[in-house]
Amino acid sequence: MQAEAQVTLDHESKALLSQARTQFSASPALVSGTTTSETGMWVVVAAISMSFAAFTSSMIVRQGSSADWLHFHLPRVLYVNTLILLASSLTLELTRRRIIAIPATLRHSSADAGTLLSNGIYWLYVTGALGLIFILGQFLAWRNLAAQGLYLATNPSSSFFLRFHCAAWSAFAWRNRRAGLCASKAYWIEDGQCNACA
Amino acid sequence: MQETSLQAVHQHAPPTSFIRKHVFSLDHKVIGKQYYGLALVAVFVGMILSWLMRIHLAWPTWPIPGLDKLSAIGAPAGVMTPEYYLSLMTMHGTIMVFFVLTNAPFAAFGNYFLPIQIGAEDMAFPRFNMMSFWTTFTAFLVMVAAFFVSDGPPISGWTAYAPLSAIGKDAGPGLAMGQNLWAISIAIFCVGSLLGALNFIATTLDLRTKGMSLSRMPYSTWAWFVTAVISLLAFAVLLPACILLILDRTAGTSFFIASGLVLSDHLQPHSGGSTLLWQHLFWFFGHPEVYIAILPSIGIVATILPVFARKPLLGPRATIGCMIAIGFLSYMVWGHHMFVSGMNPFSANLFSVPTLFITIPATILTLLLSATVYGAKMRFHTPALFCLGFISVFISGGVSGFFLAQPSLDVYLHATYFVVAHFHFVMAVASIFGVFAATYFWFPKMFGRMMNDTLGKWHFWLTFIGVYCIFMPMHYLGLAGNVRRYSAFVDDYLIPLIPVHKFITIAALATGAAQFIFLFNLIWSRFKGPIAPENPWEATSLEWSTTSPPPFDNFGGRHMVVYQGPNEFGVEGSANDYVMQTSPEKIVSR
Repeated sequence: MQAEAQVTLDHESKALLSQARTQFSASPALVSGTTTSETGMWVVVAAISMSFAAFTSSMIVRQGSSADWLHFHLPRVLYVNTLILLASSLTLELTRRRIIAIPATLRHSSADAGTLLSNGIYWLYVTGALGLIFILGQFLAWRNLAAQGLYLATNPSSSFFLRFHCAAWSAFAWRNRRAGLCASKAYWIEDGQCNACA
Repeated sequence: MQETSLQAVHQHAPPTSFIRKHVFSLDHKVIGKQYYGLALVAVFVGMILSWLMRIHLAWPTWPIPGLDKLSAIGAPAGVMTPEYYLSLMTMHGTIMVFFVLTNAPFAAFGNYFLPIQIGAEDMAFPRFNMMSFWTTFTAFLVMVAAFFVSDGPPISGWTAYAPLSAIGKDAGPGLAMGQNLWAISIAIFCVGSLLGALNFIATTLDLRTKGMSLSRMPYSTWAWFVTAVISLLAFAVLLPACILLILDRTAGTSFFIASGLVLSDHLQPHSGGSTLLWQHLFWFFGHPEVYIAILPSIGIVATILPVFARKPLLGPRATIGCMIAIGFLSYMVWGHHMFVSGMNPFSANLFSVPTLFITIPATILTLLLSATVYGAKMRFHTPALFCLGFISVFISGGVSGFFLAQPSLDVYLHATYFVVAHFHFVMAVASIFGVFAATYFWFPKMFGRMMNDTLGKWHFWLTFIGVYCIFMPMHYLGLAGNVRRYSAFVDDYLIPLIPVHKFITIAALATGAAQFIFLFNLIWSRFKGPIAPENPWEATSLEWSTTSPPPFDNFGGRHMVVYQGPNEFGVEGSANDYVMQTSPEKIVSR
């Protein structure tokens, strides 16, 4: 797989990496430790944390406000989905590490930088695939709940469960949007300018 | 002094088409003006709604021409029903709080001037910035659409208390589609505000130019930054609350609706929800929202006042510290809006104490602003007048806050006009005075032309006297037990107060009419005003180091280097009595 990506790069890499080298050297702020994208990511994490805090506190208040709270068994596929979620974080990190190593590598070897880029994109596709599997798992879990007669309005516990999952989906989709930016910099290279979030 | 940077890489190219230049623009300056335009439209809509309400309060049987065209059911023959009065009240509050007080001082001026004041070429995420405005614009359209649905706008107030807001048409007029539109609009608004806050924070932290340390940032930038942090955390809570509300209304869930509720002879199909949960979630957002409205104006006044006092602001670090303290404390006091909700008295005290604490930084701020003026050779241009007016109304409104912060007094005053007077003074009028000051101050920079100072002064004095005539008597009405949210006062003990209401209505109409002077001045000056120089007020911050209006990349390819704080006024031995932030001049004494 990696070899195939390398072959593809051989056709494109010279022009791309040459462009990337120009861009990187012209704009050191964008390749330094902290970028606006990273700051933005932490700000978004703060906002999402607040939203989940609001949902969680609502759940606690609602649970205590009436005796109508029912417990139900979670579909097993959700446990598998949790592992997929963790695995996708790992693969996203593998992408990030390869991409951020490109500027330093570019200074002495275009070929090595090309390999890093191809590897990074490879792990990005893996992350995307895991994301699709996760969504499929969620779909199966919701079908399972529906088969048990558990819908959004059935009980406050199912209301919160499904609502939390919608929120988690949103957060996940946001994270994968970030992944779609190729950890911000690969996308930048391909487009010849920094398009990260801009 | 200024270096031309080879590294200055603008994140997007200058637009060429009309659409990209003026409509879907990525330029923070255009987006700032778009926010300002939206706020201007919204404030006139909100003001006309307040006129309609005030006329009805003073002369409840008078038909208002044309009102029946807006709603034949809500205002048959032009006389509004009590329910329609509540609809107008809801829309007035919502439009003013969200689309004016949040948009104008924060999103409009912050968008335009924050990047320039820190020496950046644009916001950190221009596309999100554009999305932020158009999301907010969509929210406004959805909100205004509530006027044109069959049951009219909702009657649940800008706070949308559950269960009134959570149940459909059985609960009253406007609570079917009108309330749906309200909730959807606010949810959309939250998304726009979150995107805006994200931009403000990342831009301030990452895009400051060389030499622009945090301590050298102008106070307005500090205020926008702190407001962005508050905004981020507050709207992130309101958004889930709105989603839960929408689910209660449309999906049959029971987050906010208790069991056994019978409305319009129908047993509501909900059970076990907590009505107080909505209040907690809403006010956890709602109180910080007060500071989202007022903090930018505090920062704006702290920036503008020294320019016209020709003195440095007293206690610059204390000013910044107070703004941060207010932002921090704003998250600990939401329960003081719920003293009459049946709250445990011990809990009430728990919320009362930090509420009283918050008066400490607020008092320090007003004292610092006032002390800055003491002994100054003021240049009494219109922005300076509005800054002084801001201090006056902020103190007047703030003092009544001492009373309301105490649960025992709030129980009596909570549902009266005392509260209306308090929050209009401290949150609405003070914030708007900051916006007026900012408009007169920064208009030359934004449009390259000066506003008419004489018209500005007329505008100030009529507005200043007018708002006192409107809101000061409301304190006395409240103390006399005049309840708020009533559309007419027919009870025996309220009838003697009606002349006061008539006076307030006349004052409101006159003060509102005075705003057309401002509108005329704004439009006339835009096209016919004298050409503005680069630094007409002899100010020090970075926006005054570039042309009026600034070029697309703000500094014409120059990379600004900052050597001074923003507070260098009254400097002895300098060529002028001030030193620009970009000047490497060594300041010996003041």
